[in-house]
Amino acid sequence: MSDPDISNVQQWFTTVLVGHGHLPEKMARAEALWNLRAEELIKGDERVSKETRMGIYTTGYMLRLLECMQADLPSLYTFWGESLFDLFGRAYLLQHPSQSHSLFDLTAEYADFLDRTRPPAEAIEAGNAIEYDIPAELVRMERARLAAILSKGTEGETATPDLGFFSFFSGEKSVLQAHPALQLLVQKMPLIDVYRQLMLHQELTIPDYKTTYLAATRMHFKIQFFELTDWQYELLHFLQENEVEVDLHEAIHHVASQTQRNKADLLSEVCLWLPNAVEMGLVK
Amino acid sequence: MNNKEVLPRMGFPNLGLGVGLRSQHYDYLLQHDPEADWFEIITENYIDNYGFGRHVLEHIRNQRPVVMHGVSLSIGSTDPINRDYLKKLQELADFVEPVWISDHLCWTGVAHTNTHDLLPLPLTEESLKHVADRVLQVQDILKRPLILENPSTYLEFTHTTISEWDFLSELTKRTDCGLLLDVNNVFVSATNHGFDPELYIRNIPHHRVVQMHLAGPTDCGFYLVDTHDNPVPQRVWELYKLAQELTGGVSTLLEWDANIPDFPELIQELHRAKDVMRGEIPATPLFQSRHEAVSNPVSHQLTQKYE
Repeated sequence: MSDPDISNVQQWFTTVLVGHGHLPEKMARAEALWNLRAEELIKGDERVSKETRMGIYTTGYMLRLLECMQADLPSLYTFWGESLFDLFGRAYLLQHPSQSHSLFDLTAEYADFLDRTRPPAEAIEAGNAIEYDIPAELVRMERARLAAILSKGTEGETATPDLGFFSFFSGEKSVLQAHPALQLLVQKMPLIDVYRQLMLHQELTIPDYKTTYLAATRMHFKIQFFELTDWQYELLHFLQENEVEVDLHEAIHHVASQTQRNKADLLSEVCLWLPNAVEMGLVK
Repeated sequence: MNNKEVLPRMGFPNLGLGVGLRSQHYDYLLQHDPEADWFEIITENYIDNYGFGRHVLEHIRNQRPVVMHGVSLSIGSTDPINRDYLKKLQELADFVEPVWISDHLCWTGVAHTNTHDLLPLPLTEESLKHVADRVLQVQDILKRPLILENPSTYLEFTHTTISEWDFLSELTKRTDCGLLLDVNNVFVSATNHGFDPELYIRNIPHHRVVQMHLAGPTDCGFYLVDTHDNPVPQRVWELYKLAQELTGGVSTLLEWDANIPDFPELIQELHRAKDVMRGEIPATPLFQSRHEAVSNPVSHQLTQKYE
């Protein structure tokens, strides 16, 4: 065998690392793809074989990333237990090898992956369907929590927003912004209690299906989840989409049309809620 | 080839004894004196992180020198240099103002895959030219010398023609880069490949060594794995003493990335380095395990806390 070029060696190595199957299958696939044979490429000796040496890398690759998934998705780990968590985690990593320097991105596609691999409705015993939907929704909660941890926040800022409570009624312009750490979700079921029970290893109460609006946000570096009403969600979503400061009149008009509410009723509810929303880290 | 005279540590300061900044110690560090002389951060842990981690980093940065240590530069990869990553690295460096920036002599993946591992290169003239070209590009972009660490390796390629110490020596000549000598990695690789670790340490360019790493590996029976999860064993301390004597003294960092102890215990282990330089080598045995060991643990980079 002539000396392989470095590019070919790296393609071969990566194919072995991220491929599915046992080590001999991985190496056979890499050989077929890159025309390189492990026995000609890797030094071995009577003490440690070539396969054992390559196995240190392939085993380490999977275990290392599973540890990361466990660290980022603790509620799912508790919900499933180790063996089921590892089974789905391995399947996911095989289909979605990391392409980012950031470990936060490792689980970016995981919720959608779980949705795709959920058994069809006809294969699930009646009444158990929700337990097959909870994992993906827990992943979405965890991702929202992690995004809130990493995002810019308001810690260190001293200015409090002028809520314009009275000026709003007087017709003057009042502006608001979504909190920079705010993450919004629409979920298939309410999971805040389930999440807490999982994290505290308490007995689990499985909820019923109910469209649930959820916020994850950060105040004083502490992450919290809040359940929202539909109009609260729409308002925050509108603020987030516009990024810069939004005129409250415009926001109320939008939310009223989205939720088919009376604008005057909505105005009263928004004005009562806004001080709390600031305290909770939903708006700034 | 560059034949100019090189200052000890390439002119960088000897920062003393340092530890890695880890999220497990954040609360402690906000309430206590940092104790260590300096801190090393994992670069990727703070890129795009504007939360509590960045807050603690700023707190530490105001009290102690900080250096940035990356795991995703992939200097040996045949993929194009990731300029988005370098841009983020530079943005973080603008915030941290690190004393230096380091990464590893390795590659982490190709075809845009990041395995989050530090993978071995065939040590050939082709690889040397390839890595040297990329180091020069990165140094041009960052406008500072890159400090490269020797990795722990578990396999060698049959077509390797250059020893790792000669490879690193030649790389520093061609690029003016510096070295982060991981004494534990020398020990791990020497055991796994059957070379003399003292020969390695005696044959690197000592004035190019800017920093050293210490760590505890795991003995898996017929080979060692770089697990960073135990106290530093006796043989690594012996090699460390030799390396410190040959280099004239450089910044030392204790790595501990899994089963991370409380901060005071970490500092206690770090300060053994002072005993070692007085000739008092701890008789710490090599940690042995028959379980599958994970090299280069990275899950410590993820923040975990539920309140």
